[in-house]
Amino acid sequence: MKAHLTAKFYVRDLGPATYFLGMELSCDQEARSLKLTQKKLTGELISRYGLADARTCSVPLAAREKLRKEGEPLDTMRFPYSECVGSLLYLSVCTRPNIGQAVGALARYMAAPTVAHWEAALGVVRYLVGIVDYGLTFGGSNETLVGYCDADYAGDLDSRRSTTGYVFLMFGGAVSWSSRLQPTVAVSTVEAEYLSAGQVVKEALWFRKLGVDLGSTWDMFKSTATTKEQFSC
Amino acid sequence: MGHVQIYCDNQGAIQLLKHPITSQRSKHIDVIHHFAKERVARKEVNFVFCKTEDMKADILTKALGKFKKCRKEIGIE
Repeated sequence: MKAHLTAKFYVRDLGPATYFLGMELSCDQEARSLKLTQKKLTGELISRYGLADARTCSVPLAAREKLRKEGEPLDTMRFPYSECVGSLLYLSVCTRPNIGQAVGALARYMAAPTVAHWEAALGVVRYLVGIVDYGLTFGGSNETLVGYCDADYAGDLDSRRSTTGYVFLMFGGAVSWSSRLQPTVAVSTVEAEYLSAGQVVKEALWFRKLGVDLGSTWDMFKSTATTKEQFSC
Repeated sequence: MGHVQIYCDNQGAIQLLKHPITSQRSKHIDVIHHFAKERVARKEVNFVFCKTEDMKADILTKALGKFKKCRKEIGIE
C-alpha cells in the first residue's frame, strides 16, 4: 500500500499517527485499544475563561436547570458567548459526545444570549475541568456496530419541541452521535421516539452503505465480532 | 445484506415501526416520518427494545443521575 502510494505521489512517512486535526491519538498495543483526546484544546479553553482552579461539576448541564429564551440580556462585547459555545461545539463534535446535549441546548440561544445562558456555558467548561484527559476509547468491546436512539419529550421549554439523541457504537466507542431539537412538536413520547427512530434509520442506512463500499475490509471487522451479530453487511 | 441493529427504549415506537397500522393516536404523524417504518419492513434496520437503564443514547437527550455510567458505556474515559 505504502509503496503503491509513493510510486504515484510525493509522500513523507511520519510513522504511526499521533496527532490529527487537533486530536491526540494514542494506541495501546497490549490492551488493543485506541484513544482519541483533545487535551490541548480543552486546556486552552479552560485557561481562557480562568477556570483552571475551579470546582468541577459532575454533569455539564443539570436537568433541573432548564434554559429559557427570556432573561437579562448578556453584554456580548464583554462576555464572548458565541466564541465559548463555538469552542465547546467543536469539542462535542470531535471527541466529547458527553457534552453534546448541553452544547446543543446552549447553541439555541446564540442570537440573543442571557446572563443565565453564559453561566450555563461556563458550567460546561467547569465540567470539562475534571475530565481534561478523557476521550473516546475504542477496543472495549467486540461489537462491530450497534445503534441506540432516544428522545427527550418536550424538553425545550420555549417551543415544547422534543430532542432526538442517538449514538452508534463500534468496538465500545462512539463513532457517530447527534443531539438535535426535533423540527416539529410531538404530541406524545411515542411520537417523539418515533421521529428520533427516523433520524437514526437515516444514519444506519449510511453506515450500511459504507459497509458495502468497504467490502472485504468490512468482512474482516465482522469476523472479529464474537458476540451476537449486530451489524452484518 | 443484513440489517443494522438499533436499540430503542420505547415499546410504543417499536410497535408502531413494526406493525403498519394507523390508529387515532398516530394518524397525524406526517408521511415523511413513516420512512423509518418502510426501512424496517425492508429489513434494512432492526429495532430491539432495551430498558431505559441500558439506553446509552440517554446522555444525548438529558443529563440525569446515570450520566457517568452512560459516559463510560459510550467509551469516554
